[in-house]
Amino acid sequence: MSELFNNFDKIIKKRLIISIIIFAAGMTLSLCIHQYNILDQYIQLVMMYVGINIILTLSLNLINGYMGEFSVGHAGFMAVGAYVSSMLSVRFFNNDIGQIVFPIVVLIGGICAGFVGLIVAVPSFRIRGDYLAIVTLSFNMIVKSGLENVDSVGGARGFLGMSRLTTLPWVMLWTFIAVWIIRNFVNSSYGRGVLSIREDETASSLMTVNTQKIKVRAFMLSSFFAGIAGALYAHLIQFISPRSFDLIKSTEMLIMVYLGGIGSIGGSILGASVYTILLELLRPLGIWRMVLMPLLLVILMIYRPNGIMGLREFSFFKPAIDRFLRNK
Amino acid sequence: MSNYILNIDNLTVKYGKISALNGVKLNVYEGEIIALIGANGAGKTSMLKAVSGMIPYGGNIEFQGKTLKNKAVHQIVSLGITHVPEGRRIFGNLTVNENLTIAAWGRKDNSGIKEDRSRVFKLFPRLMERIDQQSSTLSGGEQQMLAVGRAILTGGKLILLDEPSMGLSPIFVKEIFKVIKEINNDGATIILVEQNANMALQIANRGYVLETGSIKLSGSTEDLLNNPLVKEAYLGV
Amino acid sequence: MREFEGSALKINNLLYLFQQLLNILQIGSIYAMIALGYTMVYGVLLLINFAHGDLFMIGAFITFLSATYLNFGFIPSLILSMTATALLGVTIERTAYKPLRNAPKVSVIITALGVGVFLENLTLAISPYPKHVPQLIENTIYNIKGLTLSLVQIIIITFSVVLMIGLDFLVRKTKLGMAIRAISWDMQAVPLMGIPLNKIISITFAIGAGLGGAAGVFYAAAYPVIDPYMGIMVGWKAFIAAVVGGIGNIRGAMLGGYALGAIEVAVMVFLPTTYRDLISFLLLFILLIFRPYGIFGKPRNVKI
Repeated sequence: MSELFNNFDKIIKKRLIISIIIFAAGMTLSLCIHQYNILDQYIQLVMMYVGINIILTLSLNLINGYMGEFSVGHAGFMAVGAYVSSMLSVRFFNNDIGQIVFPIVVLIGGICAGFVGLIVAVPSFRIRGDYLAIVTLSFNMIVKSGLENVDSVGGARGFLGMSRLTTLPWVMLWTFIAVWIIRNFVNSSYGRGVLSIREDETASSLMTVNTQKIKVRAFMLSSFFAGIAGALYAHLIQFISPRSFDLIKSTEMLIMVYLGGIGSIGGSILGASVYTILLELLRPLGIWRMVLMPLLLVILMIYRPNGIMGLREFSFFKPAIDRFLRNK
Repeated sequence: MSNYILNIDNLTVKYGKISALNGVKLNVYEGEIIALIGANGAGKTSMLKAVSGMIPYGGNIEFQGKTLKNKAVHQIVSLGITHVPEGRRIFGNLTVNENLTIAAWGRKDNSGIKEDRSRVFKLFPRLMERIDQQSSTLSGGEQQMLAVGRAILTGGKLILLDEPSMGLSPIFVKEIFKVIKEINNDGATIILVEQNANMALQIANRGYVLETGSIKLSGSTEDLLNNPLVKEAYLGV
Repeated sequence: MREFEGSALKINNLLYLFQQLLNILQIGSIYAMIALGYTMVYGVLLLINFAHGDLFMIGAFITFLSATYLNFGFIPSLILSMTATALLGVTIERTAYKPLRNAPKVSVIITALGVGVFLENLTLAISPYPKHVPQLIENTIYNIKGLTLSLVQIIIITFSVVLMIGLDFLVRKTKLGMAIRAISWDMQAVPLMGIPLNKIISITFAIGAGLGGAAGVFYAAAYPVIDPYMGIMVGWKAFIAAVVGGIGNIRGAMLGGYALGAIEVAVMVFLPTTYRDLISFLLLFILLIFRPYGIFGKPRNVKI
């Protein structure tokens, strides 16, 4: 028996070490690239897009993939993070301090988005399926047309003045944080509750799973990360407008989630990367790449309805206990 | 044999890895009533579903000498096989009248449809009373009447009935069985799947006993009614 | 004198009300026609056909083509657009949705989204600039005792009402309509009646798409500047109308369309135009929280 537990311990330790190595390597590499401009600016930009899109995809996957709900309006949360952080940067920290408080500004953007997530979480107690999809859709529209009517954030013209504070190391760091927290969340007992909601909500609430509490946490966590992505995006592009966060953006996020595969962290990373990079590679095609992409998506859905990963997961993102039990 | 209406040969049905029927052989003569009896999960419903093309299967099913393989459900219906599925499956959002109307979808003989309609109302005057009522508001017995009424209007030469007595009060059960016999007297061949083995064997010509996906016993109804195994397991004597 | 002024004001108010009512009927007709397509497809497949708004857009673009290059008038354009969008709707159903009949529902919805984006961007790639549709209906204005109404309004409202009454008759009274309704109750049992299921589903798509295409023609006649993304916003709003009416409910969708038209016109009377979408979606949001299945809808246990 003790030998078995030793074995389990070993797996956990091994994983921890691998995680630390990957994290350290990733951070060092991104810092070096940023500091010494090892890579072309354009490639760095694409890498940052990939990172931001991974955060967005993970965030949406938590709701649509793991919980089995269908949010069509995640760009609304992204908008909250982007606008809150940009307002802070431009109004209060439009000086040298800006760079220092940048992580806090991003964090506040994410937290605000997280609380806005409650607006969608609460209706989800009663409303499910197609109807919740419509609630999230109208939420997205409310945020967008609401912003269009607020002159202090530039209305429909948009908002600018942010410095380009988002750098590759920051994106890398937040991507690591998102992967780490969402992985731990879905593998925690809460996460099991989230999965049980996907399989059968009535049964899970009968089995004393507190579905409301779980939904609130999942929605808040998801919208928090969408907000973080929004804040990073705003400080990368240096211009945001309500149109940047309309249903087209939400659709793009959905495409990345389902391209990679639902309920899979590996799928999210893959889906976001493949989508972003493919879109860049196809740039010479001009507008026709925007014709080709949805076509590829439709073909993928017909031949692989569950996305590239198809409900599977890289074992690295699975809880160690699963692997331990399997190897036993 | 020319007077076979249905030949089932080496029929296998699988749901994923679980097999529901393994190599069933069954022949039905024109004009017969065949009773299929067996416990839950013995494969009775699967057999009917295979015949009407609702599920994929291995082996061969021939209707009047022509194979039914790879035919769509509605094509099989138009060849003359009518399936009254388990649980009645009437269209609750349609009225009684509308349910009967679309049951005759594939038929062109308007006079025949009219005749069958009046036959249904003669058999089940209750349906006439409720003709414009939304059928989800009917009682269980009335819904079963409607399901059988629909089968008459679809007008098949072979009618597959899946548990027509399920959930009905004894009076209704008697009535339904009486009607089944009448339909048979009017020329339709019938395969009857029933839990109520006693009733089924009373009106049938021959019977088959299914157990875990294979035919355990078959023969004339008298033989089966007198078989000690059948008596013990299905007749509760 | 005061009395006279008072009654004049009353008459003016009444005229103004009628004027706005006409506006409601005009925009409401367009929403209702598109909402019907969403509701019909949802009725048979429980699928939110996210590409439907883009069929409306295609309908408007076909009108542009036929009016510009073929010199077609209103009615030939209407016939051409309805036929073409109906065919397109069936093509989409056959090639993209039918192979997924047994796939997880989300895959079908994502496919629908993909088809929508494809249609938008394909149109954009072919026609990068907004297009101006030539005049389809003569710009005649009638003045009846102070009430002004244009020929465009009359034609749009009349044609929509006729098409909708036709559809209502089809669904309620014909065998085809019965089959369509039967599918929404129990799809698996439908072929057992000898009904070719796939054919009926395709016909339903064709009808829904055709009505969407007709709405595109009406829109192009009333608001002649069209662009490839016009279907997104109008489509979503019509979708909301369908939801308000209880998705799957045909008369509900029609009423929902006019209700949405009424809200929009009311907002535009009292508030700046930019608040139009905000208020519409806010009302929908509140409605859904208190009556999740629409005003006329019944709860139905669905999960995507």
